Amino acid sequence: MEIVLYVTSLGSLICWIMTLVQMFKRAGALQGILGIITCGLWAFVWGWLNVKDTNQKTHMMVWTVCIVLGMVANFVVMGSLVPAE
Amino acid sequence: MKPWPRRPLLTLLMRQPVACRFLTFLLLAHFSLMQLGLNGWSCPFLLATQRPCPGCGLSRSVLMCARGNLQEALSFHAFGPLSAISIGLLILSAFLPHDSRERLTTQVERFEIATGASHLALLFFFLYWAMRMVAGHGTIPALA
Repeated sequence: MEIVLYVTSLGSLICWIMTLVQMFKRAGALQGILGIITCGLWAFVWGWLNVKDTNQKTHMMVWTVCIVLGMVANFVVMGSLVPAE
Repeated sequence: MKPWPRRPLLTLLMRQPVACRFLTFLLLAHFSLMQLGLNGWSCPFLLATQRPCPGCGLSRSVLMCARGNLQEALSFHAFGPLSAISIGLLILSAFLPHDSRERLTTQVERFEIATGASHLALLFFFLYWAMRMVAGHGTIPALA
C-alpha cells in the first residue's frame, strides 16, 4: 500500500506542476503564486475550471484519481497503524 | 494594467463565484475529514519532498481559529487567522446574490488597493516559510 502512496504522491506532484505552469502562463503570476501557497488546492480548482481552455482534461483526471487513491491509501495505512484490540 | 503592488489579490478570487463555490465545497470536504481525524487534501509538495510548502499547516490553523483557539492556531501557522478571514470572504462571495457580492468585492478591492495589504501579506508569507525552514520546522510531516 505504501507503493500506492508513493506513486500517487509523485503523480500529484507532476500534475500540480503542469497545472502551475499553465496558471503562470494564462492567469498570471498572482494566481500562480496562489496555486503554490494553497497546497495545490487553488491550482486544482483553477485546473478544472479552465480544463477546456488548457486542453488538459487527461492530466486533471489523472490528478483527481491520484488524490482519491492517495486518500484511500492513507486511510488504509492509518488504519493498519491502529493496534487491534 | 495596474502595476503589480496595486493589483488586488483577494478580489481576483472573489470575482470568480463559480471557483469560490468549488473551493468552498473542497474546503468543506477537507475540514469534515479532518474533524473525523482523517487525512483530507494532501499537499503534493509535502508528500513528494517531505518538506512543507508555504501553506502547510494552514488548514489546521484555520480549523483552530474556527474553534476559537487562537493560540493553537498560531502554533500551526501564523497566517491562519488571516486565512480564516479570507476564506470567510470567499465563502460569502460564493453564495451572496450578485449585487451584494459586487458591493462587498468593491469594498475589499478598495482596501487592497489603498493599503497593498495582500501583497505585503504574500511577502511576509514567504518570509515566514523561509524562517520555518531555517528554524528546523521543515521536516514535520504532520504539518499537512
